[in-house]
Amino acid sequence: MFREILKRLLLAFPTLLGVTLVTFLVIQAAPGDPAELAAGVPRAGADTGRIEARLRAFMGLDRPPARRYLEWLEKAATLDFGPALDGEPVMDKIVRALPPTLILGTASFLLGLLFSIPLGVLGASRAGGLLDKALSNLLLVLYSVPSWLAGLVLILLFGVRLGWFPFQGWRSPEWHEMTFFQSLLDVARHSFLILLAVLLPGLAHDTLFVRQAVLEEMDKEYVQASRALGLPERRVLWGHAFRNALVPVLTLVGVSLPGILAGSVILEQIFSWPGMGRLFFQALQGRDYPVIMAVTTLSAFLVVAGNLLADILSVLADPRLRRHG
Amino acid sequence: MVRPREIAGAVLRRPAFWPLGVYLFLALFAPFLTLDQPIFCKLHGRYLLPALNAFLGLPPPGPLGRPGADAEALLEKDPDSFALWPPFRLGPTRTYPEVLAPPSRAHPLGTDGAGRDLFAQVVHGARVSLFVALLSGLCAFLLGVPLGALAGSAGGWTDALLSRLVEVLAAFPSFFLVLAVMAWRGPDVLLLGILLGVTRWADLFRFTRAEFLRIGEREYVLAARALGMGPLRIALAEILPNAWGAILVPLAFLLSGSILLEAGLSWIGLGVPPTIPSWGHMLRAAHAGLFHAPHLLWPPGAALVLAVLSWNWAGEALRKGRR
Repeated sequence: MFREILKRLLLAFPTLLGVTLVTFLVIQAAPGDPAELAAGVPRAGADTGRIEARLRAFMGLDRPPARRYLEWLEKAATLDFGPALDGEPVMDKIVRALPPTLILGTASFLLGLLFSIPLGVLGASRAGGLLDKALSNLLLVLYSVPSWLAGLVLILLFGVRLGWFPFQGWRSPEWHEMTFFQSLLDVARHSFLILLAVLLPGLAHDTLFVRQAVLEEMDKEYVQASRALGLPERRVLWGHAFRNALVPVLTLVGVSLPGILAGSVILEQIFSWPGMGRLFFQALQGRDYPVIMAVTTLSAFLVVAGNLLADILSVLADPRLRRHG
Repeated sequence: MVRPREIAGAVLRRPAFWPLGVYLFLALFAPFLTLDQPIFCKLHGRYLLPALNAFLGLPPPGPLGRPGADAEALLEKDPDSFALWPPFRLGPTRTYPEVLAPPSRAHPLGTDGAGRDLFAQVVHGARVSLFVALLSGLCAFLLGVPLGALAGSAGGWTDALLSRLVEVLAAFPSFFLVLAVMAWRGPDVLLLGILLGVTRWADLFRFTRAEFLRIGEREYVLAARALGMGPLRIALAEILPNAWGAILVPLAFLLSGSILLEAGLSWIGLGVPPTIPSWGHMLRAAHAGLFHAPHLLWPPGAALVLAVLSWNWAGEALRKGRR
């Protein structure tokens, strides 16, 4: 299995290369470039073509694409994504957008695990019963509501109608006058609705996933055997069925890891949440190619890292995987 | 061996598929349910089928297609005319004088800021949603299933290469890619459907490959091989008919995901062109009117969730049927 992990580690590099290359090519194929954008609207009397050419030379866009890609790669390997269109280093922009997204991602990830595992095991233990059927159908409905639609509904009900929670931005304008605990409370209040919007569909998906994983174990013979031996149902459920369902659940943990940092383009737009999703969307609208490249590369890196983590966790949880392969 | 007719029978008998049936019916026949033009009419001595034109995405026929033409007024002026109307005489793009009206008898779900009827927009919005979803499903199917079948039956280097390729694809932030491509190509229904398909076929590939690996070891496949059947014939005649159940599950979830992505991208303004009624556009307007016109939110929101749910229910039932 350690060979398997090594193989995956080696595979991660071509994956990341592939992602950056395709993103670079997509950007190359797009009409218009930053120089054209920076030169502005053509005016009568002004030699726009010459201005653009000089800007292109200044920005280094006149060199062959292959060379530019390699140079970008060399820098990106040290996490230097160069300056954005407005001159600010891309990394600074990302570091600024990270805290709001990180708060949201971590909270929804942890709360999701906290609720989905007990709920999923509960559903599986009552499989076929009324409670399980009601829970499964409710979760399937929640799973079908995209987080941004949930966000709109929550804003309408609790933001506009009841006025209980603020729903624009991630902290009040006067946050710097607050004490530490006040500002903590302020961020918590601002993030409540958006957190709920992120949490609900994810929680529904995870719970259904856990339920399915435990249910598949419940059918197996060792569960019947431990019941026949007179073990209490709780030990059968948590000590045997759930422990064996841990591998798919850990895979889920790894797969949902990138979500912590990815952010949601539409949801962050609706809540004016200054996170990664909004950064990407603004970069897209402004054709800020260095930012686009950096964000796609980072999210691909997280997906690869998440898959790798899932593999490692699975090996730790299941000794059988260590002997094979 | 599962035949198409058996699949159809099993589908009709299971209540889990009924919501999907209702959704497909509404989406397909939207112009015959609600339109500001007749289904069939006689005007100036000519027989016309305006709803059929709308169904096919064509402009209205004859004099009805002139700019500013009003079917009801034209038909009234012509004494020798008759018309068969859809159950609701509400057009999805027509602007009525009542702006931001709450639900009423004339407008069952109210009107939006431009005076367009919400009910007609919701029903017609199902059309573009279904079209994009089916197109994405077709593209993903054409890529994922043949390649998955190839990887599952050929094995060896072919399998290793294809599997690695799919792993790369699965790590791709496809939503970002779709956003980036749509951002410079502009809103386009065909492009949207194709992009949502070609970036999201990894699951279909995996399920198909696993199923071909599993079934490929069965005795009847061995027997077919021993009888000298070629690999292509074995794949098509022996394995594929037994693999449908496994292939349809990820397909159903792919389609429900496409519906969500279409709405989301249209919300951003990078999905369906603004002239075509779409739930994403309606939700965008609802977001803008959250304070003064909250009735805009519920119709497209409910339609979107029900459409996604109908596919998810079907996918869930297919998966349970396999266990």
